[in-house]
Amino acid sequence: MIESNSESLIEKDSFSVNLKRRQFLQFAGVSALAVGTIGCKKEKTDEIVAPYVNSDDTIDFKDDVGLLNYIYALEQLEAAFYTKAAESLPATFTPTQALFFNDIKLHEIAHREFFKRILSTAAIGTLTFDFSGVNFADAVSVFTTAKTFEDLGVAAYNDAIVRCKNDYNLILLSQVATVEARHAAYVRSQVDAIGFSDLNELAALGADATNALDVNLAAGKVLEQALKYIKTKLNIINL
Amino acid sequence: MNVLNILNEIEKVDGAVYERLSPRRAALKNFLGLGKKISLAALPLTLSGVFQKAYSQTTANGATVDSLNLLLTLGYMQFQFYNNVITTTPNLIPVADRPIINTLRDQEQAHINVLIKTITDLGGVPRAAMPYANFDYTKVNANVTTNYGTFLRTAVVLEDLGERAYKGQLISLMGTSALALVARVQTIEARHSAQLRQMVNKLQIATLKYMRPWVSIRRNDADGTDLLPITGNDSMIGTLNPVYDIDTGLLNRETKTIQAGIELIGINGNTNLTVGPASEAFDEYLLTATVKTAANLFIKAAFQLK
Repeated sequence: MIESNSESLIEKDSFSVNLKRRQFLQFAGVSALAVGTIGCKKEKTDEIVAPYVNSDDTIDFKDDVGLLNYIYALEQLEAAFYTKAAESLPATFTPTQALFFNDIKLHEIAHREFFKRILSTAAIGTLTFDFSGVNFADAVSVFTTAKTFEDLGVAAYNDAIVRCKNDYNLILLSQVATVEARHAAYVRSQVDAIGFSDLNELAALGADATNALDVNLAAGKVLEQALKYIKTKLNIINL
Repeated sequence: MNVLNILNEIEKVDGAVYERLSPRRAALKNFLGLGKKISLAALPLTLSGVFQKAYSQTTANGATVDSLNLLLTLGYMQFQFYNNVITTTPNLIPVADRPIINTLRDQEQAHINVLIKTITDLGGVPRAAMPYANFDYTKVNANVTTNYGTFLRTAVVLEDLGERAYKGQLISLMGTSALALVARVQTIEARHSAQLRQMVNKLQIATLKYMRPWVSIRRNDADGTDLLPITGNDSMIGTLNPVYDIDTGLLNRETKTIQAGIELIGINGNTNLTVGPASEAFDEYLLTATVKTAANLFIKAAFQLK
């Protein structure tokens, strides 16, 4: 634990120079509103607020807590899917496919547990899912579903990176985004040998083939698709 | 609302605020003097305009342009590598793989184009195109133009470096128009790397028989078990440590398993999360200085980044 604490401190220090400029830009702000509130807010002293306890699966997009809960919900979805698939992999899976699929499952579990830990009492609960549309005995069905989730995940992360307000969250989201992209490329290649970065096909998720920019989708659009698989009722506000 | 209070707060994070404003000192003086005369509602808008002029045209764009030019250099490095094999030694690539290498080349060309356009739009000067001859692609092995395995392994390293470099620039681009662009390129670089890594795995090259599509720890060829110590990098080439290992003064090597102070190994009772998957689950950034060191491994002496 000592090592981990000092590590994050070092990381924070190293960003202080960049941070200063960025903090200032937030202060000076493109928005007049931001400037307006700073001038008033800083005259108050900080109040101690009791930790927020999320007891009704609320995803409130007003701040980064909501954004991370949204990401946490998507990670729960992915982890649940791979865990279910791993219970009995399709018979046609090669040893390498099984190995990589197991890796992905473990990454998604790591992501899920990480966000759960970060969010602490503010986290939504454990969600339940409906995978009745997936034929878990069929490799194509499994990989096609994995492809849907991974590309959707990349689209969600790329939007969340731009939306998040805290620089430390930006770093964390960017660290996971590329792992999801690696997953996406791999599972795509299992249904189309040259499809790892087919941005024309991914245009529906916001990809820009002309400039080779990856998928990018607002949370509302992502949730439209993800909620088809989530049975738990989520209280989504300020989207 | 107290304008001086705002300036004081700004000074805490940017001691040079008054210097930045100084070319407009007369205007600011007027502005402060006018404070009592203009309505409170109009004030934030006016103040915001003053700051935008002081900052967005100088510091903000300058830093953004520097970031994008660094990434543009890596774009040239990747593009020339793919373009060279396609135009000079196409037979090195198996027919089935050619559409893949073409996609990699074309997407890197697109990144170069969009970076140049963005830099120009910001009023900056894009780094001039770097030809193939400026680069040195022999760090994996000197047989890079004649051995397909070496070619793929080199491409993996270039893509992993690109991805880490893009990630490292995100923080300084927060709040700028270039943030979304850089975020969306970094995941493309990750897709490229994953595809290439998988192709390396297929070749079953000695020491790389368990190479993953994700950046991982080193594995034993015989049975895929962890090759200890976990430090080092999964390209299996020590010279390439700057690409995968420690950022200047930081512990953010690709084999790291602790994120934001949270240990991922065995997290919340998940004992199957061992060091391999725990380190793979998060990719790591590289900051500018280390990107330059790593990039210079692939750039000939006369053209290196300073």
